[in-house]
Amino acid sequence: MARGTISIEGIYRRHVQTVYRLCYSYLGSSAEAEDATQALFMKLVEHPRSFESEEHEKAWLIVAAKNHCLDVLKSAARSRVVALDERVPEPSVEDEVFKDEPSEIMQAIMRLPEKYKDVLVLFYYENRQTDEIAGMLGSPPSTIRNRLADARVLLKKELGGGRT
Amino acid sequence: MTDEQLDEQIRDAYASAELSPEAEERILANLLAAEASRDGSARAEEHEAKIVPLPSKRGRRRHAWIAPAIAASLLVAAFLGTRIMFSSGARDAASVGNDAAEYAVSGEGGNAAESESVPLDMKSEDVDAADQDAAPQDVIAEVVVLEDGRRFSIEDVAVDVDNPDGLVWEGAVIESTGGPCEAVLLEDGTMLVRFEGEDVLYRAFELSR
Repeated sequence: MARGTISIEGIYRRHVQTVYRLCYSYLGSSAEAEDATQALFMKLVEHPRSFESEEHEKAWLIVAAKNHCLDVLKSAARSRVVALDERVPEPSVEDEVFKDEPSEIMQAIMRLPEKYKDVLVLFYYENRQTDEIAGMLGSPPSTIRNRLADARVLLKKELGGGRT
Repeated sequence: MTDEQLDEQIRDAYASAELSPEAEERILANLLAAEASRDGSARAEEHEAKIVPLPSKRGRRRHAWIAPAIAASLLVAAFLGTRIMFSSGARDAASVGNDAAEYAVSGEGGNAAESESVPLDMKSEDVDAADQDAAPQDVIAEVVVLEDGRRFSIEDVAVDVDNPDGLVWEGAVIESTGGPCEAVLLEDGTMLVRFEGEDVLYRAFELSR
C-alpha cells in the first residue's frame, strides 16, 4: 500500500461533489451531508491507500460513502426517540434552515429505499451508463437497469400523488 | 409526467444539490491540516521507533506475552533472592548477635530488588499498553487475502452488524504476516473480517478484482 503517495486534494477535488450529492440523498440535510463528506475523505487521510485509476477511486468512494451514510443513519435511528415515520422530511418550522429545504423531487429521492440512491447519482449526475455503474458497484447490469426502472416508477408515483 | 420530464427533474435536483464553494474550501482546509498533522506525526513515530521498537504488527502481537512473562519471572527471582539474603542475614545476625547488621543486609537486599523491579515493571506495563493501543487500529490498512486470491484492505471497524455468527465465514490470511482470520463477503462488495478471540469486526474493501 503506497502510504503518503496520494494527494488528498486531488482526490477531493475530483470527487467531492459526487460524494456530497450521494450523502445528501441519504441523509437529507446539507449539514449532515457535509459532515459525512468530510468524514469520508478524512478516512483517506488517516489511512492512505493507492488506487489503480480514477474509476477505482470513484467506485471506492461511492461504496464507502454509502456505507458511511448507512452507519450514520443506523446510529441516528438508535439514538433518536422520535418514531421512524417522523424522520421523513416534511416541511416544518423546526427544520434547521429554510434555504436547505430540498426540492420536491429531491425529497422524493430521499424517501426511496437505499438501494436506488447510488444508482441514481451515478446515472443522473455522473451520466454513467448502466454497464459502467454495474462495474463500479459490483452488480449485474440487469440489476442496475431494474433498479433504475423501479426508481422511476416510485418517483412518478410519489410526484404524481400531488405531495408537496 | 413523461419519462423525459422525470429524467430532467432528477438531473436538475442533483445539479442544484451542490456543496457550496465555502463549505468545499472549509472541508479541504480541514483535510489538508489533518494530512499535514499525519505526515508530521508519522515522521515523529519513525524517529521514535528507532529508539524504542514496540510490537505494532498483528503477527508480533502473538509473541507479546514473552516480555511480560520474562519480566514476571525476573521479579519472582528478585523477590526470592531478597528473601534468601534476608534469611541468611538473619542467621548471621543471630550467630553474632548483631541486629544492626541484619537490618543493613535486609535493607540492601530490598533496595536491590526494588531497583531491579522498577524498570522491569515499567517494561511490562509498556508492552501491555502498546498491545492495548495497538488493537484494534493496528489491523486497519492491513490486507486480507481470500483463498481465491482476492485482496481486501481493512479500512474501518464495522459497527451495527447484526448476528455476525449467523453469517457464513470463510478462512483468510493477513497478507503481511500470514496470520489467519475469517472473512465474509457482503452484498455491497465489502467484506467483514474478524479474528479469533476478538469481538471486533472490521470492514474491508477490495483492492483489485
